Amino acid sequence: MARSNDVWVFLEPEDDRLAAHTERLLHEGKRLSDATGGNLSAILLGPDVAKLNETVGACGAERLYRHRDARLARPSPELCAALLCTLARKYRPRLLLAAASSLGSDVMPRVAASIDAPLVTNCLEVQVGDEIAFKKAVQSGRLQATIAAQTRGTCLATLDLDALPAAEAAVSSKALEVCEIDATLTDIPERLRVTDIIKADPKTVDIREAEVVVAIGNGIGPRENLDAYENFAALIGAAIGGSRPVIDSGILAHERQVGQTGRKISPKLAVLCGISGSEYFTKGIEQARTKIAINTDRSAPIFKDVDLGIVADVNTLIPKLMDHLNRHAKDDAS
Amino acid sequence: MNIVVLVKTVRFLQAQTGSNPKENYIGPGDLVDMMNPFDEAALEEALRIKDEQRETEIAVLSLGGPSAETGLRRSLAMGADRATHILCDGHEGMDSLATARALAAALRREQTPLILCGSEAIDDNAGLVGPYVAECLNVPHVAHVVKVELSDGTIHVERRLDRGDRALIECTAPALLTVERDINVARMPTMPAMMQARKVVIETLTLEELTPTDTQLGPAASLTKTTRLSNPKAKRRSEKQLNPTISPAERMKLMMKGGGAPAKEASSLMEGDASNVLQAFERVMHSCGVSVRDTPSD
Repeated sequence: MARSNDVWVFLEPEDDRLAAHTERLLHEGKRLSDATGGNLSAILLGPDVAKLNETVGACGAERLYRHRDARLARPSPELCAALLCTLARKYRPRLLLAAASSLGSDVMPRVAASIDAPLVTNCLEVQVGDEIAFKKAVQSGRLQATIAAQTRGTCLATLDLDALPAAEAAVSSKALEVCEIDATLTDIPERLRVTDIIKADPKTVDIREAEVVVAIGNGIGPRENLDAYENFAALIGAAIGGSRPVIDSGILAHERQVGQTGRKISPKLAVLCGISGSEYFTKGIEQARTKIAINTDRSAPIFKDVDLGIVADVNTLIPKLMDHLNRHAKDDAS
Repeated sequence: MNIVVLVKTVRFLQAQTGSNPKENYIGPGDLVDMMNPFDEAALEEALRIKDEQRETEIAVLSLGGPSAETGLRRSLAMGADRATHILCDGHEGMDSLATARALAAALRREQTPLILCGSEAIDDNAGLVGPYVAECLNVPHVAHVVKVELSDGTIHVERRLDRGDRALIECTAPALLTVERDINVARMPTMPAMMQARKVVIETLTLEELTPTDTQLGPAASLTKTTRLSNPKAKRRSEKQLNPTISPAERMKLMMKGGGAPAKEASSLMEGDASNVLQAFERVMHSCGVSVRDTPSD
């Protein structure tokens, strides 16, 4: 039996800041705590990060739980899970939420199994009613399942970040209560040893995992022009992908094909160079968060659904763009 | 190091050829029983370890109704040494936790140093049975593994993180790993191997035989229940604005090119490569958190 109607949100650090999804996640937590009639609390395990209290307070949370032990500097799923279990067993919130990030997805099953609570992963929606229900994609995306929790105790969920609505304006300036979690980490066994973290190399990363993608199409011209795009991609830390014609003519390897018969990408930024935007291609970029397209043809279908469309010859635009970006980067550095 | 691979025979919706929206357009023949490709990758990983260390014994374990035999026999044909089937007719009512408890009960009978399984099943996409089994058995686990190496009882893995990053992690046996589908390309069982596999005796257990007196196994142990299946809402398509000023011939040409509407607003479409365009690009780029990389000087 849950002891309260509170909603708790597990926050994650990203270097010295809060992870990019934090505000959206907190706002969803606030929406749900309003629905359950409880309060919103947040948990951050690890060293302090920039703007922590402000961000959490602005989203309407009442309480922030902290543990600042140096051992938490590199997020350890085992330590995080153990601490969450201690808190969950003591306070028994109605809902404990995390992002369906690699850390959130690693921590939550450990907690659920330990405290015997239901967990639904990659939720598109959480519905609060007489009982709590979760909606998620199943059958590899062909269907959506509504899953009801069969308990009045704490329910856990990881939320699909793409399904979270955009963050709203700051909710409140309520005083945020910060509590230190009273637990010694030395009692918690760690059986996994992280020996290294290898950052993705945009040149070799799978385009489905790349954060930024430069996709090239027929508009780039002959294969001699590829160098310029590789330089541009390297400049902004992007992986290179291409439409089917570019792969068919051998300019790019088939693992770099974007589209219905190729790979579906979901970068935070996709730059579409000389691509007309047939349906078969755009199926591959539906999940890209922001899209910029460059094409000489102003009636090209690619311009239908982009955040910025530029009617220009991409071969003359890209070198000018690289100059511009390089100059400004130097200005910022000096 | 002996290995147990957890295998699920999924009932996968490979097509939607029906015409009844109330049945989510599922027609006859759309649901197919097949070995979960993620578990197949796990078995292939075990077989590669066995290729290197011939004395490795590989057992496969499945919980399910009669259709679970599909995955088990395929596993035997691929090269598993023996198979165990927890025959459970009510298995559709068992969620990940209930399933994991039953699997753990079977696994406890033997102390296997390494347990492998797929990181998720393609029918329920939960990704929980592996971690739950590890917790039930109180062994360490790593999920979303893309590389496995064993040396002297230490297990070295590469784990997929967000954004293409990887973590290198070590642990000692006994341990459980869940693997990604693209960790390898699974071998095809040969026809003779498939026919041979049909004759193998699969150990069959029931839940009653596995249930200890103090715990619940089976559907009653489920904490979640799927109450509804529906079709995803169609993605909101940007409004097609029919331009009334173009001639029918031009409209036909536009439609044949795959388009039909000009850009939605003049303000979001820029022209040329002057500095205002470059600045707009830079603004959008920065708003996504993308910036110029430090290039090493040659």
